[in-house]
Amino acid sequence: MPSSVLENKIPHSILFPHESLHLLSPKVFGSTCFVHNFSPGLDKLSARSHKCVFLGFTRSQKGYKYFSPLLNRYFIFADVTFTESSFYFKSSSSPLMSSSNQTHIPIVCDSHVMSNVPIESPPSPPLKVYSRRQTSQSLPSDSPLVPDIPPSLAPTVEPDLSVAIRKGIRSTRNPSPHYTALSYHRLSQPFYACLSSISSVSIPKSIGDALAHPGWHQAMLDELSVLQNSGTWELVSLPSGKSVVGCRWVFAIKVGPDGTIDRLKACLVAKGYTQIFGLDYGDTFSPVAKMASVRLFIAMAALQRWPLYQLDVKNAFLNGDLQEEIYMEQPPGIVAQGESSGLVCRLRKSLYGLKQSHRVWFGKFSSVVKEFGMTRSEADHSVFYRHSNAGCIYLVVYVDDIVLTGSDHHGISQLKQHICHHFQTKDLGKLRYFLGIKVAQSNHGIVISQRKYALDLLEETGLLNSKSVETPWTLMPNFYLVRGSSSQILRSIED
Amino acid sequence: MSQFLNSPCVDHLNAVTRILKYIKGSPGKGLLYGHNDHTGVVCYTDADWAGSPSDRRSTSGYCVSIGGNLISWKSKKQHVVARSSAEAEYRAMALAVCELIWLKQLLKELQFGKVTQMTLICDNQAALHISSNLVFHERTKYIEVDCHFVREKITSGDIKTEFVNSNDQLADIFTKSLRGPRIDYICNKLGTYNLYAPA
Repeated sequence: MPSSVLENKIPHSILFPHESLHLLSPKVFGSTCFVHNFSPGLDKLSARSHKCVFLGFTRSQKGYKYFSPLLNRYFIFADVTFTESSFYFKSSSSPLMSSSNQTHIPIVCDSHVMSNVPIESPPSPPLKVYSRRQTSQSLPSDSPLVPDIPPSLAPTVEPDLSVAIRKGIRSTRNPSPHYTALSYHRLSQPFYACLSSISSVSIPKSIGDALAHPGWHQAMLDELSVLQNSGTWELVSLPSGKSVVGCRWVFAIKVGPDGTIDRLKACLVAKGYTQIFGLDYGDTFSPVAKMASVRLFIAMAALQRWPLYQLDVKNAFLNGDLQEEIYMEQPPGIVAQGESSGLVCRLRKSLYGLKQSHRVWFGKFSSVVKEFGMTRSEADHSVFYRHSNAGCIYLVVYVDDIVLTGSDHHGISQLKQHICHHFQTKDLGKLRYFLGIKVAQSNHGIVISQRKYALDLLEETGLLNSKSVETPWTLMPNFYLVRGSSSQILRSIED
Repeated sequence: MSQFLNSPCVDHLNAVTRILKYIKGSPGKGLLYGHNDHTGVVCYTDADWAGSPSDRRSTSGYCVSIGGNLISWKSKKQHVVARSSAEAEYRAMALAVCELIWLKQLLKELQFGKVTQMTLICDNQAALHISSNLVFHERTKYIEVDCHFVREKITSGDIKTEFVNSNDQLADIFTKSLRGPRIDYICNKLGTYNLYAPA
């Protein structure tokens, strides 16, 4: 600890004035180093060390950190021989290594440290090899903090410059492999296009930002025209005693399969959390299909060799008719001018974000399907069926995804037309992909799998390259998990 | 795993990682629904008696298939401690019967297939005896509700029970931690199929 008696110095520097507190001198990142091989059973002629790449320092231990790509192992050792002038990886000329890296960053450097730095001629041999016991060889013992500077650069660098700036210059001349790993140019073409296009258009943070950008402004106008065409609301003056529900814009960038921007989507959502139970909404429950019923459908289709079809309803929630009287603010940013500026929107149709929008949509869909003569199942309320002389039709609905099967082919196409007539629907043809499950139909049967979901999950958790194991659970006897065990508790997912 | 969600620890994270690594082994694995001729409903039930070392509750598991095509399965830790393996198995049977009744009703409404007796397969003789006979003594007193529930369904003819050797018990996979070859064997029996496997 520094104390005032010792002129604010620590005892160590009083006792050993020529020794640095940091026993490990700084080294060039990414340089080659040789770590002594301690493994037993080495014969007389085998190599004594591993060739590794220098990564950095450890916080917890006194030692350097290395990685050996050959062994795929990390090491932490202090006793290591460095060859700083040669990088482990062959330096490749990268297009991104432009002159921008040469910008001088002002760095506040510790004057105490810098005053100790002597103006000395840098070590001359380009291929200088020295060990950790640094004071013995080519470096003067009183300057352990001076990084070695390549001789060609040394005269141009003022000694007052900080370490970081000197390194910056050197790395532009001699691109370190870590720069290439962090740059874009090694990414595959679609991914690069996706990344660069996403970074070129950002999601607006405020309504003002969105209005300023022509693309987002157009997206908002498109959404408004869709809403007005479907008669979602009418402008009225607010009756007394009624509350107003707020609304806001949600922006999203739709990315196509090739990574380019498909379209910019602006979606107007109501602030459903400001609704009051009993006044603005009543029941909100709505059934969704059980996964077992969906699998039963697939099994039935497989057993009877029926085809499976899929329909997708666009903007499903906008179709529901509202029973309740709900007043909403005019959309922020686009408010009608003139005499209607003080008015509010009386909602006729449901909007995303309202508490009852799911229920209202399901009720509407249910009534439309029942018009066609379908009956709702009592065992699973999202299953509909119709039996006739021509055969049977089965339908299961999961929010806005619909799966159809049955033996009555004519009836199924009629039902499709009936649904298309009432809602804006996309006929996806044969069932291929439903709720993250891939469905493959063939002559021998139907196979369902979640390969894409599994791969996405592995990619998200960064386990794509991990070794696979045979069993999902360890076979160690007496291994079990307990609630809130004494082991370290995870603070959050981000940690 | 989800029972530990309120206090996740490093051990739990490691366990999740292991599960993900298992998925990594064959991400393309899926279920094959074949064109079989029969539409019989078969249900395997199993229980792992006192399988949880921390509170000694049992785990029930079942899987339901129609015409050899697996459609529904579940693995769930029981709410109360079972005092014997027969009792744990019996609770698992009651859970499976609930699912079977739902399925029967749905099939009846859809008028799909011939509504036949559904088969409930269990590997515990004692539990089967309790379900079919009027044995009722102090050891089964406290599972009375489950007892009457399952027995009623059996006497009404909705469900018939069958014994199976533990080696052919397919619901094992939902209750116990098994070895790799055993998992592969059961998965194969249950009808999994890797569409992306190198043929």
